[in-house]
Amino acid sequence: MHTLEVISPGLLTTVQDLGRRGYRRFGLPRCGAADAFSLQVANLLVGNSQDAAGLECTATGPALRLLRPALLGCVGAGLPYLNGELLPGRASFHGRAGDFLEIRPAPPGLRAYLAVSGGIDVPVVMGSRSTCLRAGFGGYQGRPLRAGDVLACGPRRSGRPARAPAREADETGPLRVILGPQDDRFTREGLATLLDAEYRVTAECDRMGCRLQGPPIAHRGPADIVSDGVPEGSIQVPAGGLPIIMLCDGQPTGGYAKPAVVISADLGRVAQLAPLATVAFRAVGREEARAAREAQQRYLAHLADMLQASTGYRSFHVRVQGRSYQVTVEELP
Amino acid sequence: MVRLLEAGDAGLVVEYGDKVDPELHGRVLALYYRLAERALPGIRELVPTYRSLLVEYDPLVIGYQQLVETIEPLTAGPPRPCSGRLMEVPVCYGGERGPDLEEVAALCRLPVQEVIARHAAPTYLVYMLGFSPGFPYLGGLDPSLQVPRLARPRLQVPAGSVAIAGPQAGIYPQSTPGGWRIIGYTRLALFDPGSDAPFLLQAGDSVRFVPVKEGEHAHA
Repeated sequence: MHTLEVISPGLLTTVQDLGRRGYRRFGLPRCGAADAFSLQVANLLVGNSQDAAGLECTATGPALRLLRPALLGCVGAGLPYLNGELLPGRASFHGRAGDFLEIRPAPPGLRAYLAVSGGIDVPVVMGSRSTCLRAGFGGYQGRPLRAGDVLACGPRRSGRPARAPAREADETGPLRVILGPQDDRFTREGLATLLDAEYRVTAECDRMGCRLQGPPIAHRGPADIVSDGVPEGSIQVPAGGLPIIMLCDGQPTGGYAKPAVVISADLGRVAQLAPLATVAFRAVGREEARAAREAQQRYLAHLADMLQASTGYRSFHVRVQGRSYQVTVEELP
Repeated sequence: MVRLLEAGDAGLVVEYGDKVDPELHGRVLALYYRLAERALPGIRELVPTYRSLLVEYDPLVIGYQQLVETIEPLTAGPPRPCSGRLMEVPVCYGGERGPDLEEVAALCRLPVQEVIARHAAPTYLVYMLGFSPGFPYLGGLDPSLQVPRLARPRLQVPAGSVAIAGPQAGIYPQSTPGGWRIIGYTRLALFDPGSDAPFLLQAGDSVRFVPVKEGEHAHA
């Protein structure tokens, strides 16, 4: 059902879900929300499953007209203005047909996620509704939104406006990294530089990667390696010594040595780095990385429980033969 | 000597060496197939490369120790050099869509026809896909055709461009920037997101280039 009309698209607004899985061996990046955690929170707030498609807004978000009533939620570095009135972020709100919704920037972050009840309904391509900008497919016609585009959403479920609780304090401080896989390709001083210095995000900062400016990191011997796999969050250091953090649209293989990889719980924070932001890194072990991931999962589970208590549907995590499923049961009036 | 290396909290690199070598790559592929067959819960992606296999996993489903204990016994065993699939790629050499062919011939001190013959002679191995969706890194180029990359990479290399650089050969599936030397083009689609089998090639496949003239470019 037609739900949103794009009046102005903003700087770079794309349809994203949690991305594609299983195609990285073919050179296809995950795509999906750069800050997946924020999209998951936004989805829960409007009664969607965590992996529904929403809009990823970059810096200046879009101006939209609602074509039918919907529950909406904005999470991340954006402020929702409904008919000119500022509404709280990290919260959901009702919109009526004809309402005018703007997502304005909320520095210091870079990306905001707008979820709409029912989820943005674009065709599923290779298992996902996410936009792959690099190859021009998926999402809304394989491209960023433009003025005049009309977006459909799935059927709306019952749900009330709600607010997500504040998060515990692992959202600030240095980005946490695990050293490797090629930390042995750097001098001891080089690794100390990476972990002690402060870097600044350059203007070359997109969904593929985020280039940093600061003290160069010294290699031990030649800078390039025979290409190997590049996980999301990899810190690549080319010959010039300046690090690049790889994001969700980054290529799955590459020939730059990687002294460290940002832990998965901090990938959303990488996605929120805007040009001129400062970045520092701290080395952690697997245990701390796991604890951080578990804390995020607990937060999402707590939010889901809290919202279920106030709505007519309930969702369950079911494990069958080692696979996890999320099952939602809704009471019909 | 196989090394298991941490790549963040959701990645593990199984490194077999640090060179481009078909035998070494065969051992990477063998591990890839063994793991793919097992379909372990928690493993999200397997990315084979020239010299290593990147295993991406969900650390909340499978722990690092459990993953290492599962993978270590599988790292030994015979290499599996190829998938057994051979793909023929029709190529129209030179002209507007192969703008670097004559320069490559000059750099190699060979007649243009000889460059074409030597490029189309070998059976290439797809070592890995990367750079852009569906881009095959092909090994097996005739050493006499080794040329450096362009000093100034092109901002737009058209989709279907058949190119070489150093010891490597490749095909650009999408229009992207690129620094390899373009000697021809193919109409064969390497990536079609709408298809049930979106990618034409996978690591371990074999590829042969078949010269065709402009008019007879096959609708493969």
